[in-house]
Amino acid sequence: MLAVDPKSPVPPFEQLRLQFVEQVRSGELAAGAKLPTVRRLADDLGLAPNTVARCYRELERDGFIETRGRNGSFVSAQGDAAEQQAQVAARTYADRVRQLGVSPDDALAWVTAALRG
Amino acid sequence: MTPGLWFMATAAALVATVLLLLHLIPAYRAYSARRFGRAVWLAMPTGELLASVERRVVRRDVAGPLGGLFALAIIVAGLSAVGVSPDDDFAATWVLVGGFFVGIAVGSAANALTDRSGPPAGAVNYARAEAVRLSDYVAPIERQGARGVVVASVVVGGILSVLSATDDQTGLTGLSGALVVVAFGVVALVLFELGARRLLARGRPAGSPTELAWDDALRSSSLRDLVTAPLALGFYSLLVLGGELANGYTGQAATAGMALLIGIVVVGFAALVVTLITRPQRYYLRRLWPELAATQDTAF
Repeated sequence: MLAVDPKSPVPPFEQLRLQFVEQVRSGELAAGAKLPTVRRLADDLGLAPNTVARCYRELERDGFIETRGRNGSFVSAQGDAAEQQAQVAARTYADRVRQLGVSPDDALAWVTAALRG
Repeated sequence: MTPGLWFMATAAALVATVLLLLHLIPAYRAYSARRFGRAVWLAMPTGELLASVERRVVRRDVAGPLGGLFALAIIVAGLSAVGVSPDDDFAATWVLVGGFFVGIAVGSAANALTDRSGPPAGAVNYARAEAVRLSDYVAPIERQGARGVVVASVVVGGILSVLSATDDQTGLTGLSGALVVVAFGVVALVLFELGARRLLARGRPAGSPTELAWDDALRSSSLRDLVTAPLALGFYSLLVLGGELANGYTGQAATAGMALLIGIVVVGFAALVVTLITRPQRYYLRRLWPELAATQDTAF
């Protein structure tokens, strides 16, 4: 979830950037997650598209997201090579679980059991 | 127009008009919003958001029948101008039914695409950090079901058209009527695909996570209204085409027609049972708000 307060002394662009960085670092936004389009997010938050575009550019420059041409912007895997691979595998598993309609609690329980096994 | 067509058009117009008039009663508007909240598994909000939610639910409830009424008026005017003989009655009936369904879908889409409500200027705005897809709002059984039945109806309709053109002895007297339903199904599917793309690309400011959840519920509901037209028309057209094949031929072709009819009825019944069990109107909540969906199990 993102929130932008127009009355805050922090510029909207910076509020947005900080929240994305925090969510990527905490894992709330997992590697491979697709971000909304610039226009959609600008409409949702009542911002100018240039504000969101600037935020995405800076996030990409800092390695938090990557732009894959016309496919859009995606969260980049963070940490060393092994951690990045694990994050990509986790994303693939999460996508498959959602496709199958399995509950997140069950999916987590199975992963925990598999890791302990 | 024949008396039968006039009767159908008048009955459909009456039902749509009664639905529209009911929404003039404040108590019914409040009831309608509460009923919608129960269906989409959301507790009614309080304060300013309640008025906004009621207004948006009423707009949604009114838009579909209004679109259907407009479509009916246009089709009745068109059929009256052209003149329908008793021979064309079957095809004209399907023009009326198909046009009414498409009109409802167009009305719902127009409402969703023109809704400009949002928090007041200067308020905090909330948005989702991840992109949403059509598959987050419409359950696979409806999304893929609509595409499947329309494509199947085009294929079966095409085969019957070729059979009819190559064999003068066939009894496919109602084929033109069936092909009208197939055509409306294709139009409705194109409308759904284009409308869904536009609706998903369109942002809408939300002043709280609760408002965002209601926005998701209304967006999902509009998309489901849109997908209902191709789903229903594709299903009806397969039934009509199966009936044509069973009645117009003898031997193996008639058996194939009966098999198609029975197959469609069985698949339709199975889909109905799955729909009743899985509640596709709550699908968006399980996809986009899983934590909220888990708590609603006990709340409703």
